[in-house]
Amino acid sequence: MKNYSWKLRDIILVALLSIIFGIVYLGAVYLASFLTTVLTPFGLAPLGNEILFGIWFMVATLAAYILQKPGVAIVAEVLAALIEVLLGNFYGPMVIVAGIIQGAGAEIVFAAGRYRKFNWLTMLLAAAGCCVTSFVWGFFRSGFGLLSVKLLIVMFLIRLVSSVLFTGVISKLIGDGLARTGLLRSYALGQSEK
Amino acid sequence: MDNPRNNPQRVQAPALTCRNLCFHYGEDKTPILRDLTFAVEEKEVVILTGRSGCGKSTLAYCLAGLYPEYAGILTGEIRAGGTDIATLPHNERARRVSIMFQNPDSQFCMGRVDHEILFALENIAYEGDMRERMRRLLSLIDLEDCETARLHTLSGGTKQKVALATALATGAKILILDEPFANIDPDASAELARKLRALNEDGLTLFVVDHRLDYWKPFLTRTIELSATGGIADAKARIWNFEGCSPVPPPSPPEIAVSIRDLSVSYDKKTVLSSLSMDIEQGTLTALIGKNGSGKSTLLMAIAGLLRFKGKIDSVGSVGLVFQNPRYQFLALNVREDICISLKRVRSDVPKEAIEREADRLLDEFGLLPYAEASPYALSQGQQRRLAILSMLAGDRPILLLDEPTYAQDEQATHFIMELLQRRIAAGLTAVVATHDLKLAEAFANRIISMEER
Amino acid sequence: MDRLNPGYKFLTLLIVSMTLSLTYNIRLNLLVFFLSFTATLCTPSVNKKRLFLGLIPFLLLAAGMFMSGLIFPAEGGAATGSEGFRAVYVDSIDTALQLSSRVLAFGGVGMLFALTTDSMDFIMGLMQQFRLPPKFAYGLLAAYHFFPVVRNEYRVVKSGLKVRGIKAGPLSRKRVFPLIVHAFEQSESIAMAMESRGFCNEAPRTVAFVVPLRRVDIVFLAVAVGGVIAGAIWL
Repeated sequence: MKNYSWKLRDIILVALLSIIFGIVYLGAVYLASFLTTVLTPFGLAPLGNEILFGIWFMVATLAAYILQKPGVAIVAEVLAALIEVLLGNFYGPMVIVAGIIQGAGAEIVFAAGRYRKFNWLTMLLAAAGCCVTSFVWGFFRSGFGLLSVKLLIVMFLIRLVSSVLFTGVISKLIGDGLARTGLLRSYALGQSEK
Repeated sequence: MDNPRNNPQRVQAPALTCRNLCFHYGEDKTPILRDLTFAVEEKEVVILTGRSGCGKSTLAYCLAGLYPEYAGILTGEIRAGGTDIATLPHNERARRVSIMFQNPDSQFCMGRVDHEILFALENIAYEGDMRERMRRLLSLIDLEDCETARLHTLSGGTKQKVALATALATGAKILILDEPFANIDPDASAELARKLRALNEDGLTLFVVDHRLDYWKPFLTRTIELSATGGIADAKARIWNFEGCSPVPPPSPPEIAVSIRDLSVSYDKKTVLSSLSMDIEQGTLTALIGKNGSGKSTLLMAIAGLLRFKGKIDSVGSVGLVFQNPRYQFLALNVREDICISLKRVRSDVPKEAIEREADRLLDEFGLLPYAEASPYALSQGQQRRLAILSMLAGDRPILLLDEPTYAQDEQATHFIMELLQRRIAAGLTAVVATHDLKLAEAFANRIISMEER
Repeated sequence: MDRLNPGYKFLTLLIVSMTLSLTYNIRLNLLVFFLSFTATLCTPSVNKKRLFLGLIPFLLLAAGMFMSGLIFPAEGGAATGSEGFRAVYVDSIDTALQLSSRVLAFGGVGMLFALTTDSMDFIMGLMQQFRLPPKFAYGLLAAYHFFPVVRNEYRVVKSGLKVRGIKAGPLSRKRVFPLIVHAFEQSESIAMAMESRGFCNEAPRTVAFVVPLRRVDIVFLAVAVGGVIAGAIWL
């Protein structure tokens, strides 16, 4: 009985969510770029970016948690990427590819639960999924293959912590908070809470 | 299409008919609308009134065909010009009925005035010269100069006019309006009402949800009232007033609660306030009136210390500010908890049970006790406003600033808030209220300050 | 550049970027950066201030990657250390240049797109040439136009909390939650408004905003993609 097609309302919602997270990221990115600059002379600059990396995936898990249907995580990341392009993100065309790949990381986990399980475990695994796929993508995009394994391990761990915190824990808490407001009556999450 | 058995003497179907309409938000919820049957004739101006929360907007959304698609369960039938609107796709429906919403900010999808109207023309697959038609629509509402203006730079009143032109672009003959004046200042409201009146004379049918009749009085055909039990009845058009209300007498001798000297504020290189000096007396209500953009909100923000300013502001105690949209100030996911947070900040030594007892007492006074366990976001606008005021007062604020506290509230809700405030003012609270409602200011304020637009 | 079909321009630059990410060619990376930068600079409608301001983060990032590559190169590079200190040094400089020139190349390509493309034309182009369903196209535009509103709300919530005596950092859940709640209400109300203006995903619609596809777009695609592949092979 699930309706797999996207309603206009859901599209606007997901796009607005990605705008919100984009603004939150911008609000925090000064901190990260300060860190990056400080770490540059030590060759540790990439670590600064990793700290906030999880914010990029938040929309995938939160949207999937609210709408609970196939494809949401990937489509949400692509919508978020398109919004980034519209807002003039200088990473340009590549963010779309990154979006698909990151979204796929979460999508696989939700698909494994047949889009029925949206508990703490799936949310955390989905967060880790985004982290893993995005990291693999980093080998192509940023040439991670040229960096030492030690640095890569540290980078991966930081990104994992950031993903689990933002994409897993905070997204789940926000979703649960939303369900309690009674605003989600006509969304899958609001119905499953009853 | 018309059924002659029901309307033997009528040749043409009424503009809008509603037959045995029932609506509820969910299987387990009580019905909002019960067995409504009524008709609106062509060229009529029908005003629907009723207390907040009785389902006026719900009925408007049903008539516009938005419900039950977006929420709820509907039985019965709604016909526009003889056609059941539930059977129509959006574009066909929009050619017959269109709706204008309360909030001017969330009804556009494009960035520019011309694009927004062209979007509506695209939707109905308009075959003629779209740009020519767009210009004609703009001239209808005197907005020829704003053709390429960015929507988010326009005032609320202008946005509502654009929304009107967009709603008309589809060629709809029936326009549903959900409190179109709630968010705009009196001058803009009067102008929008004039435009609507002219359009009505040219044949547009208007079905209006509003609890204030001031602007409709000169041209409305009739008023109907929706009762709390979901029924409908004819009602008399009454303009609400604040008869019998008067300001709380100020304490004597007067003491200064807030003193402002040479205050200047600029935003983005534009001066909003310049060298303003004044004193606000303790135990009084001061009303700031003036158009949108005259700096009322800016002054409140400055007194609350929320923005940078030049000059000097001294106040005798901590200042609370209730925003026009109280939703931005809630901290907890539960009404009682939200009050407890404020109480705990000022009374850290009091045990938890005593805090909760105190919170419940305050909630009771503010008519919010039945919602103690609810989420602040699930409350109605009037309840949210009262909660926001209470959250401030619970934090021991001798000075309370309120930005448009009666915005989008009905008569009862407005009186409730003002009575609560007056009781606190009699006990020593100093209140400053920014409003564009002159009547309200005259009824309750010890002092009215008119702010000029710069 | 600003007259090209935005959808095809996007596709072209996407293929160029993908090709670059499969190669490690410092000269090609720098050439792509230089060409993109020049093309952007020579487009009259481009805001030059934004161009130079936008470059700063890329230069920083490139510098960051340069240092990382220099100090922490892959073990393969370090293994040549047996031949002496100098060899290691040259090798890690090479790694450092690889990484940082790549950042610059991507930055240049992204900047070329961002600064020469009108957002609305881009979405309309995706709808007209790449079959993006209208509900996604107009839904995205609606949300995009809300950016200034949401950004303002983010600030308002900060002061709203401050006046209640709560200091919330930029990442605080208390600051984000009201925005998300509002997003639910707004998305519903915008969608309702759009549909009551006759928006219908399936119905045929006339086109007021035509984004033309011309021969020059195909030529640009062929030349740019051909050029970068040729560069990858011969440079």
